[in-house]
Amino acid sequence: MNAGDDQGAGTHTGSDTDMSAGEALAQIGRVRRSVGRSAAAMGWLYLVWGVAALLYWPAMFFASSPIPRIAGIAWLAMTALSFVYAYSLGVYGHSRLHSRVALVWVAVMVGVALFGYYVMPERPSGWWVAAGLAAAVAAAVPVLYAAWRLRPWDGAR
Amino acid sequence: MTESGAHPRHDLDQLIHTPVRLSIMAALAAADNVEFRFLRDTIEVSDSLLSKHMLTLEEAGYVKVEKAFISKKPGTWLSLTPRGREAFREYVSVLEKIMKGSPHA
Repeated sequence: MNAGDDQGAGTHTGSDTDMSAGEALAQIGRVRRSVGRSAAAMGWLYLVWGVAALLYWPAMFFASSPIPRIAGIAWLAMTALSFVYAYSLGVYGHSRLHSRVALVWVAVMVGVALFGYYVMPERPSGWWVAAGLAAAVAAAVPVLYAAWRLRPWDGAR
Repeated sequence: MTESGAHPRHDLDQLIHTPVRLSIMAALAAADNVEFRFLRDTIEVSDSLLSKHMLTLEEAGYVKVEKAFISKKPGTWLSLTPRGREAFREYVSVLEKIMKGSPHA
């Protein structure tokens, strides 16, 4: 495109690269969407952890042996796989959201674990079942919130 | 026209205003950290071309390069420095000024 071209006269940048302002902005938009999609893929991980928390705590509170042990091993395996998945994405964004969610989630998980260990009876029934389920939901909320914030299902944004 | 009478294109940072370096800066501006191979695949360039442009941006103080090992696998993570982020923000602002001044914008 030449500087004198009627079509590009206003947006031509006069650079040796012959890239107009419109082309540059379009390229920025393309790259931004592509990177944004990959960064938002962490949302899938949060969603999986949210569902896992909803299953994990009822398994720990109410199920009989060996299910709590299996749940514990699965939890550790998921933690390792999560690091691999996060690293394989090759992009890390939304660091403020990640750090806040991680902080809140760890605090809630510790709280739920202490509740299960010190407060919950050995064989819960009645309202204790409701309390255990409520604790599981509370443990899932921070990560489900993060998944909702990232909305990986939205695709290109 | 700007206040000085010059076309805003004169304010464009020529270090950024090349297709590859523009793409690198746009990718890094959209995230906190980006891995070298991810960036290479996203902007569709060869390892050597990306390395060459990264070096230019690193020397300008726009980009920070960090090596990390995860599960014994080496990785190179790239990010914008505060100076690079500011330069890119300014660059985009100049592009927008040019577009506003265009009858075709």
